[in-house]
Amino acid sequence: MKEAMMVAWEDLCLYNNESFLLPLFLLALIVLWIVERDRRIRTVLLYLSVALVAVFFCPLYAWIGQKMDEEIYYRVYWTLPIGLLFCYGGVRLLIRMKKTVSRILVGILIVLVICMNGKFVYKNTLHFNASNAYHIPQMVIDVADAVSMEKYKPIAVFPAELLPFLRQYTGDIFTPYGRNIIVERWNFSNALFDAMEAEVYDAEEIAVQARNEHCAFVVLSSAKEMRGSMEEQNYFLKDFVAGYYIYMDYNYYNVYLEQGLLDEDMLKFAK
Amino acid sequence: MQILHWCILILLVTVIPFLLGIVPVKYMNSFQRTPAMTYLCGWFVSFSVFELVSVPFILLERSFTEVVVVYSIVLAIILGISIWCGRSVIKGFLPDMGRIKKMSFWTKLGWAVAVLFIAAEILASVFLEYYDGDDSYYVAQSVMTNTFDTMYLRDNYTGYPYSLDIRHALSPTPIYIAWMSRLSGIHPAIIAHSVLAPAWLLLMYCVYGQIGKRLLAGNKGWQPLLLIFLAVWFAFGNVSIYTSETFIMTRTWQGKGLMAGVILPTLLLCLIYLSDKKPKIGSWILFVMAIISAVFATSVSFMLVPTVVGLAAVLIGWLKKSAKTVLLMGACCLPCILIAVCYLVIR
Repeated sequence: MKEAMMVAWEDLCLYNNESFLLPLFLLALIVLWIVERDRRIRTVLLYLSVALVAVFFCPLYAWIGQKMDEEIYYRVYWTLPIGLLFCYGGVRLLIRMKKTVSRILVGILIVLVICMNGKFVYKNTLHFNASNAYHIPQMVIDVADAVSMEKYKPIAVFPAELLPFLRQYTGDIFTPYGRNIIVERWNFSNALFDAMEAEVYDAEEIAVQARNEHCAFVVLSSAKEMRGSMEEQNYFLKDFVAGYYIYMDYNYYNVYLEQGLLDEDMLKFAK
Repeated sequence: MQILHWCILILLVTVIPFLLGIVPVKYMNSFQRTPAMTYLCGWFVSFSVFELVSVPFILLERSFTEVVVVYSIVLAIILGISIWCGRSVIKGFLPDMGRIKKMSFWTKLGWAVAVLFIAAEILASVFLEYYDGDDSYYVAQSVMTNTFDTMYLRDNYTGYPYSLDIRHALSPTPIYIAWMSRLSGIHPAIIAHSVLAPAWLLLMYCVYGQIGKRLLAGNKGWQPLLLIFLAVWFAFGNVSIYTSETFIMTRTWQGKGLMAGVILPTLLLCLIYLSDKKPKIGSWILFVMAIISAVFATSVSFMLVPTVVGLAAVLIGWLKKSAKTVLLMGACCLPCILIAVCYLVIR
């Protein structure tokens, strides 16, 4: 249980990061404790917040909570209305002031404190100008469209940089692995992934591993060099899209051809 | 044709939530009855009914189409009741519009700045994209649901069949997005990133608007300033990747973002209402819907909601010297506790 409390404390430190979030929370509690007269609001905003903090650091609660899922215990802190308390405390403070000048100065000070405490979300995070309404990189859409087939859902392997987005766009392509393989702490491994992410592509190794995983298509980045060629491994270049070579295995091509599963534009590749 | 798809989608996130909210708002007092509160209640009707309808289908491993049909029919019935009962409520909003004229210059200016700040954040959610790794599970879940007509029975990373993913199955936000996609014909990724992100940000500020209205009931002119402070707070709330502000501003469309930014503040709003001497039945309805919606959003609510509600029940019961309030609030938490037990048993 002592360990559970330590985790709760570490989570709070990570939550706070290097900001003044917790001091601001304390300050807001003190200000509202002094200025808020409505007992109902005091009960819900102040007493409840304090009670929640006490419960979250209660060893038994922390132990049970972390037994359920230690990785997300920090989410208990979402229930503390820190932002609301600080902003409401600020407004209450301004209401108590009589002079307009002091109100303006304190109001500006509050905004400055908020800005200095946190980081501007659009600058600090992975925000980019949206390239389309999907909010998915356009190259992923182009590559996925080039691999997709109308009458069949093929298995295809993609470079790691496309994996986080591919499934958000289409369910019509199976893959031997997805974004799960990139997350190191999940400890997934796959020989095809190792071959695909090698510094230099080895066509023979990729072909062997792709066939082991029943992949009809292999998507390779044009930014990497290759030992050997996919054509030597009985693949053909179906398309080149957004910097990616899309190779198809002739073995699967012939099976799809026999079963009438190929799209019209793919018939031209018949040997 | 594309215009028709978009019209359906826009209706699903604007007019329909507004109409759905009429029934709970009808049972609130005149102070609570605002267009923003109606819109907010409508979303919570939508979330909570979806949770109750879809989870049995998911656990029984039935098809997604069945959920679409049953939920759409249930929603249509509620919509019919709302329109039938709610004419007087909508008429009641009209005098509210006249109050704008009576506001002081500073209050009007305050509202203008607040709207400007909030609009900027809403527009940013449409025109800026954010890379979040979890989307390759959550948005992918909506895509897979639509593609294979199954719910939580496919590995979202590979596409291959999978045993029921019980950890996520009880909180079906991605299935809700898939439902919107099926009805409108718009791709789930577009709905999540370009439509629900702005819609749920607006919803969050509707919640804070109502909280501000209640907290500053005696100082109406100061309400816009609270919203301005809050808008700045959220824009600069990215102090770490863990904060509720970071989640709502970067992952608005995911259940976690919804929980952090919308559902927990709504729960707080309900607690403020329930601390009144005689809360209206509409406040209780919203309270129950908020609790069920918390489960709809994320499985972490199994722990958070009973904690918050339990503590608040004791404190509010003590404030009102009323054991009945404690019991009633505890009873409202039962759906959440039941689903939590269900989760622990199945897991």
